[in-house]
Amino acid sequence: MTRRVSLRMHDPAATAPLWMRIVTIALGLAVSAIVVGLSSSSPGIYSSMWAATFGSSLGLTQVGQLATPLILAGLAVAIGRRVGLWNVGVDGQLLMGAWAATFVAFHAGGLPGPLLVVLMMFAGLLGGAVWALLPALTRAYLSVNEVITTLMLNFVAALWLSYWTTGPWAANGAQLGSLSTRQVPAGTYLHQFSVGSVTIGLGLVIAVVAVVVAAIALRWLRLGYYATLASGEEATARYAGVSQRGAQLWGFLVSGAIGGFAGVVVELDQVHRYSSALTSNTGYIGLIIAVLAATSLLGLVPVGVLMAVVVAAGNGLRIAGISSDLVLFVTGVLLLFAGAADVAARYRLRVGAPPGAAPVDAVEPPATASPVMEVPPS
Amino acid sequence: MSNPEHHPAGAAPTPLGGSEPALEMRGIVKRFGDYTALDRVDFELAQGEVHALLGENGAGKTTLMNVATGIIDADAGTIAVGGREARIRSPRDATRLGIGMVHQHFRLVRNFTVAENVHLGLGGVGRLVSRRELERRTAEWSERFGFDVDPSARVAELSVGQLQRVAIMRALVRGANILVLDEPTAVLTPQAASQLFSIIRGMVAEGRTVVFISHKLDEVIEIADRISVLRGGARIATLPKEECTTVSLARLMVGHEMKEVRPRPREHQGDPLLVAQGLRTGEADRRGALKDVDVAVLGGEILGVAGVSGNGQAELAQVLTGMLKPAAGTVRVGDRELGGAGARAFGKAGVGHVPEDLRIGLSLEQTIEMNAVMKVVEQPPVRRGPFLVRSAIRPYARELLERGGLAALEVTRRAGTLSGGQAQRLVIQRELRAGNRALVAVHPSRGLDVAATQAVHEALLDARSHGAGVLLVSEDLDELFELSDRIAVMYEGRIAATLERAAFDREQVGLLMGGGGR
Amino acid sequence: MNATEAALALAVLSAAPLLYAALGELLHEKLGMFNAGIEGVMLMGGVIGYMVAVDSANILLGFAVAAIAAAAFNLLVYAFPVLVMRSSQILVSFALWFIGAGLSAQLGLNYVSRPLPESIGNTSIPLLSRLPFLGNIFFRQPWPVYVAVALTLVVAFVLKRTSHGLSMRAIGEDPASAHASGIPVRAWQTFYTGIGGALMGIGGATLTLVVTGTWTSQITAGRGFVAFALVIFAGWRASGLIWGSFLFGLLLVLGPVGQAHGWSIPSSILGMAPYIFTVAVLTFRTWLELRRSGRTLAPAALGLVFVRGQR
Repeated sequence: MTRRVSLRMHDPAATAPLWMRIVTIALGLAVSAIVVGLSSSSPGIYSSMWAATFGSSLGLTQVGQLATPLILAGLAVAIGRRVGLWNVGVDGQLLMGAWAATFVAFHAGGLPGPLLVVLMMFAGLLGGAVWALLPALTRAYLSVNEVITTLMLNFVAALWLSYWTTGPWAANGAQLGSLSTRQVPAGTYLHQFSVGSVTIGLGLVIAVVAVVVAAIALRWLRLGYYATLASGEEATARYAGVSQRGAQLWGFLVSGAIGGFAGVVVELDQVHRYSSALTSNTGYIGLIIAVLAATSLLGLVPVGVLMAVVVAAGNGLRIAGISSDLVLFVTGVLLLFAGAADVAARYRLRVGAPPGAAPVDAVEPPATASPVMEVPPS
Repeated sequence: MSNPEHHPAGAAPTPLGGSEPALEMRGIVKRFGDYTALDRVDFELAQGEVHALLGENGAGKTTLMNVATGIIDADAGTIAVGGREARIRSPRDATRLGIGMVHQHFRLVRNFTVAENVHLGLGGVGRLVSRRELERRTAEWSERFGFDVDPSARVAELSVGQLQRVAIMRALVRGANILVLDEPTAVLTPQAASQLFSIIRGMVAEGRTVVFISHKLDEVIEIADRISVLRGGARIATLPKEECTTVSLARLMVGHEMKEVRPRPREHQGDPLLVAQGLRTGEADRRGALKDVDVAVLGGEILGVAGVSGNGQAELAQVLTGMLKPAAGTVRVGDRELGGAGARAFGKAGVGHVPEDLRIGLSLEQTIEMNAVMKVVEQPPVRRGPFLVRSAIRPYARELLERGGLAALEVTRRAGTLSGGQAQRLVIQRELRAGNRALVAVHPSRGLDVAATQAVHEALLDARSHGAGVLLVSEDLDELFELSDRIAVMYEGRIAATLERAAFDREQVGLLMGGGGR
Repeated sequence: MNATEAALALAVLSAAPLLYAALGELLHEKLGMFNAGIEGVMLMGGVIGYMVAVDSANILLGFAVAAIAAAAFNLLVYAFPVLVMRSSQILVSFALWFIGAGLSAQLGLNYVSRPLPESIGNTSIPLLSRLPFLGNIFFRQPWPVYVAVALTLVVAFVLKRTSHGLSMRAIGEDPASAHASGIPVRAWQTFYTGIGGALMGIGGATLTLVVTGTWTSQITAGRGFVAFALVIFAGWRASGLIWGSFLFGLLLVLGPVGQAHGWSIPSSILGMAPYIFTVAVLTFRTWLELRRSGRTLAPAALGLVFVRGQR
């Protein structure tokens, strides 16, 4: 009897283990690096990338700055994933959060700095949540695809920005290459720490703290348990006595609020204006951060930093004929590889035993059938 | 090989070649991973016979016929059709060779009409079809075969019996000489089954050959000319029906003799624990919707619920566990009124629920231990304020697994990695503990092997002897007769009758299930 | 041609890329595949068509290469992971979109300011183009507009009136039953992913080569997602895509038209119309269907992957 190798569904809800994720990232980055190398005729692009990231204190400072909104965007997407939804609208929520915060700053500018900062943060959370409200409601009550609705609202938010920065809030000396308002009061600037010659903003600390708080809440409160129950089949949620509708609604609102919060933090920390410079594909990169971190919220921090390095490296290549949008390519390749790794984790390679060797228990097919009509392949 | 279009559909096929077997399978091996579903099976089908394939769940009957019809590929073995070696790599090949299969779930496209389903996969690419033409041809065939179905009806709206006729017609239209029927009576009342038998006899009279897959002894002896018994993926015997009795077949099928249904006295006559009155659900015109159902499960009894699937049993179980809010009526657990409350309230009140579909009883995204505590997250020691006491979870889960004979399982594995039997045992143990008052179990042993079924039955009897009230919904009459103290028979959303154990009678129950009797 | 006619004619023209893309998506979804990465395929088709047209000075060649390249791109980045590796369709969709967006931005970097050597003129349909009002709007358009409509009608016909169309729909409704009926499920899914990708690519090329006549990074500005919504809006009926796309085209030109006519509403606010409308229409349509029949008109097995050989 010949032994045949076959695949068997092992765990339909599995995500790739850490080592597989690291291999995934390495492969994805290698593919991307090759494409970058092919795309540019300039010599020394790899050393430019080094200089723009780890190779200089300016580079390291940049990485920290870029990581700040990315970690928060990853957190926003990850919270959405916890209730089984895809929040592709973080960019829009980020801009609307920043808009709300800026509105507060322009209308209550006389308040003392710290108080204003707190008010702006609340406004940002609210702005993001409001911007997620419509997708949340339509998804929870009508099962309208949230990917489309959140994405459409990104474009609306971008046009909203263009309206305010060219209309009511138009600045006199507009910044080069971006749509911006004038600055918010200087008292709201977040503290910048110096570590040697590298500067780390308070914003980064806030982002990391937000991730830790979320991780603790989801692990130690019953809330997190119910959220996970609601993320699967609707019938399972109902069976456990959890309203999937409620979980989706609240989970998505929290996700949107965090998206809005990302906007305020990056405004207070770095940009100091309501501006198109607040985001550069941040929400989209947040998707891959959440996917790579998988079920671990704390994993968002290292993955966020990693993607910040990728973005910073890309920024270092603009003069070498590399598009700033090429970072999307890297994101896409990583997503593709991460998806494949998750699938790989769901199956077990089996070398077929000779007939008759199977224990009785193995007679039964797995208890599960994911949406995929999974069955041993022939 | 001839195209199905070339011989007029419905005309009696000419026998292929005198005494050659219609179908001959030699040394068929099929493995799924490291599980061997078919172990060197030989199978021979004579022209014009009704050949029954008998065996328990998982014996390999359907798998063998899936190989013959190209649904799956065998790992080894040869197939000959009409004496000629054949390679059957896809259902298309099988159709070309005149082999058609009617699957247990019919494999009909729910959102298509009868006519569309009959024509699916028939004919070449680009051939023009109009809805009217399809329906005209289908009506013609329907008449010729004596099946009474409306060609323009959407399949999702048909009854089970009609679905079956559509599926058979579809196979015949493709020129099937050999027709494989997979558990055709599993979802029929005894009366509807006898109608099917006359259809089968009619087909054989036209020269066709029929393979009849079943695990029911009586009907196999009634309809078959020859009977092959499969057990554990191997063919045990092939016998002409004259040499068979139910007892001898049972011995072959199970490997030992089946237990007789024995009388049993009522142990305790408890108080009513789960009581529902005047239940109605959903749109009244739907077949499965409940219409004024009253039911009371007493402590210390097993109340069986019989019925052909889709007559309201699923709805009843859902209402009694808070999964479905009734449109009217009341549900009481002990002396607490719970009508309209959700599943969590029912769980807290001590109602356990082994759901019809195992998948909904487990959260596949979470670990086994988190699934084990699903029904106690609101109670100490797992709950403390808004917090989840993680240190209390593991001991609880371990204890539960031990009771279910699953102590070897790693509790941090994800629930999705459990086998069907393991998952079933985990859910039952969890629900037995949560349901200290009442347990609603729907098809708790479906798809399990003999040993696992035994364990489930013992668990249900155990709950009963501890004074809980058990509502057992099952389509398996043997199971109901063995376990129940009373049986309620459901028909079209109503309880047609409730029988005491002393009055259990197979024929009577069969009639009630079909809307007759009394 | 007066100003109203010109605006409406522009709307028809702007509808063409949406129609191609939505038709490509329809071919995916009718066969049970959910592809939300249309944007990426459109961008790849758009940039490659533009590059070839600029370099060869041949717009037709641009279209042809765009179609082939987009089909290959969709097969490699979408069909392979989804059909062979069984990756999550939503994840792969995102990857398709991002890879297409990033790669097209890079490929087209040096073409951003290079103009097309020629432009496609309008083709007047005899007789019909002389109709008052309607003639100017619908029947004096560049040929890709007519081709889009013609292809849509062909797809509608195939799906509805041929036995092959029956097989296609069966794959999206119930792939296991379709397989059991002898339909080669995976082969047709692969085939139509290629065709669908080509259509999306032609849609992108129509945008860059005909509608705008320029290339910039992410020029599609969400049109791929609008096309996705359009399929839902049309209730998965090919014929519904035609007037649906016209409606969306109308909204797309609101901004530019408003600006040209000096309307008092800022163009950035007008520009929101197609996006807000998409959300509104999606919501309304789903609400309506759920109320009417309790389910949407989507193919029943949309998004599920069929794996042969179940027991």
